[in-house]
Formats: sequence, C-alpha cells, structure tokens
Amino acid sequence: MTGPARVGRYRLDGVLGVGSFATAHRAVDERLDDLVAVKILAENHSLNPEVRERFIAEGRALRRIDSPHVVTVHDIGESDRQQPYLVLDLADRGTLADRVRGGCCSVAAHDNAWTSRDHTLSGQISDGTRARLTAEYAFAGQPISAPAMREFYETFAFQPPGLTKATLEELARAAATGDTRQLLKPARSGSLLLTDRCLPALT
Amino acid sequence: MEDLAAALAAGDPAGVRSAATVADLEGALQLLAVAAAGGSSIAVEVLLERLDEAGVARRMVRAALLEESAVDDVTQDVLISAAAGIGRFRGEAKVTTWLHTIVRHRVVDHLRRQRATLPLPADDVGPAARMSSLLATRATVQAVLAGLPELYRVPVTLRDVDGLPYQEIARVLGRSEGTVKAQISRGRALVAAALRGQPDSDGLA
Repeated sequence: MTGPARVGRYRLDGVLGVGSFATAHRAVDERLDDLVAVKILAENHSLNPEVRERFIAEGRALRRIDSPHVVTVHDIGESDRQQPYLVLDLADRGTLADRVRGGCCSVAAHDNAWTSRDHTLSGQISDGTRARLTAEYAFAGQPISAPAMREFYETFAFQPPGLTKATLEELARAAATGDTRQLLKPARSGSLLLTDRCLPALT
Repeated sequence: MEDLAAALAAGDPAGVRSAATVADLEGALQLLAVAAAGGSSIAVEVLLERLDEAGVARRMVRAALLEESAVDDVTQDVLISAAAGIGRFRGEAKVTTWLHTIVRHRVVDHLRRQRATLPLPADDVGPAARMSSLLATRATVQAVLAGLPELYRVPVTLRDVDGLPYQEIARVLGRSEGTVKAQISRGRALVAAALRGQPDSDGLA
C-alpha cells in the first residue's frame, strides 16, 4: 500500500524507517523550506485510543525537553486518515552505530508509562527511585553489542540519574542476547527515554 | 468528604455543590458518582458540573485527539454518555477509570465517523447530536427538559428547540459564548441522565 504523499503542510519525500507502530519519513516543510522527519502512526493503530494516547504523549513529552542531545518536536498533527504524526528534526548523520562512536544520541524524559514496542531493540533500567531509564535502539534488526552499549553510555553527554555501571552491563548483556523481555515492563513514572536522533539508514 | 456525604444524604443542593468543590477532586467525584448511580439527581447534576468544570473529561479526550473541534464534540459526547450510563456505575471501580472507558469508546466512535468516506446514515451521529435532535422532536424529552434547573433549561431550549446559534443565545442571555456552550452541554447531559432506561435514550450511553 502506498502511503499519503503529504500530511498537513509537509510533503513526504521517502521513508526513513518503518516500525510496527509508526513510519518515519523524510519530508519537506514547504513553508519554512527545510527538511524534517515526520513520524506517522500506522493507520491500523490510529483507531486504537490506547496507542494514540501513547503516541501523542510521546510527542508532548519530547516537546518539553530542551537539549542539544534531544530530537526536537516541531509540530504535531493528524492526517486526513486520522493518523497522528510528529514533526521532528531530521537527523541524517549516519546510523546509530556511527553515532554511538561519535557519542551523539538523544534523550527524552518521560513522565508517563511508556513501552517501546515499535523498536527493534529496547531496554529499560529501573533504579527503583526517581527515574527509570528506557533505552531504545531503532536498529533495524541488529542487536547491539555489549561493548558498543557501554561505549554508548560512556560517551553519552547526559548522566542518567541512579544509573550504575552494573545495571548498564546487565542491560547491555540482555540487549546483546536479544532478551529484552524483562526490560519491557512499563515504567510507572519518571522514565527517561533515549532514542537515537538519527534513524538507521535503510539501504 | 464528610460534608459532602452529609449534604448528599440530606439532599441539600447548595450543600452538595459547595462541599463538592474541594481539593480532593477524585474523592468528591467518587461520592457523587455513587450517589448519582443510586438515583440522586442533585448528585448527577453536580457530578457533571465537576467533570466538566474541572476539565476531567476534556483532559482525557485531549490525550487521544488533537483537533480542537473534535475535542469539544467528543467531550460533550462523553458527558452525555456518562450521564446516561451513570446507573451502571458500580462504586468498586474508580470513577476516573469508568470515565476513561467511556472516553475511549467515544473517541473510537468519533474516529470511525470521521474515517467513513461515504455520506453518513442519518442516525450515525454522536450522543450529543442525537440528544440535540431528540430534544427538538420528542415530547417526552421536552417534558424532561422542562424539569431542568433554569440555568440549563433556558439555553438548551434556545439551542435545541428554537435552533438559535450559540452566539445569539449568548447575546440574548447576556452570558459569554463559552458559558452558554458549557451550560448547553451539561443541560443535554442532564436530560440524558433523566431519560435513563427510557427507549428514547438508546445510543446515548
């Protein structure tokens, strides 16, 4: 099925990544004459109020974060097929692996329950106190190695509260073996969501 | 909370209204909902006022919908469904959980209606639109309307029976358009609550 050619004022210009819940497109903001990324909730999920709530909450939470390491939400809207979409910075400087080496990834604080089902690899660490950490890797099917994971955190500009080396290693191990089940429990409150600001280049 | 419980037990409208405006909104809503389910009409009235004024219903709708006009319409649908279905509320559930279920149903209904590309069948409208048309056409419904507190009866009559636009009603009554809209929306919900169980009320809950 072919998707829409445009949503709102954004002309879609190629798919950047596809998840089971949403698709990210490169798009042109014709008013500002700039490139953006538009993440559109899949049509079959757009009538599900629970999924909509989560998608919209993600956009609103992300919008409140002001950090050079966080992808900025510029707009939120709805297609004429009732699909909510987020308009984000287009971060097209390579894959996650490159970015891990470069130490540049994005962080978003989340104060609501969040499970990440639309990403290939996802982890959540609980420190039992005020913050939980959700690490997400839109990594197109490739598990990330434990050393890469460690490097990712070590070079990461943001120090997640309560995050110990031990939990990091545990997460890295689980992520490397693909066992993310226990890491997918929904966060109760105050989670931190890490997403790579650059979607993987799909070649 | 004791004040509210006492006022409900005494059936004292002014007491219920003032005691319901407390910091513990959730606790107040819970007491009101239980009393409303048990048949107290003042509890229904104040429950709807609190759900609407405190933005409880609207906040839930806004979590799932983006368009302002859709949020307005669905919030109204939710108030009417809540009023029409309050008899089925059981005190074991949290009133906000119960309301959230209604919100999700009304959100889905709204999205389905929006998505339908074919012209809608005449009866494929939300509870608010259906209430509005019942008010215009049914004698039994108008009888219920006649029993509403004046604050709500007059604007609802002007809107749904006389068919005046909101702006005109606001001018006639010397109230703001926002106030008039809220009163009409609550007034319709009160009629829906009073119609509970009657054949006319199908499709409102």
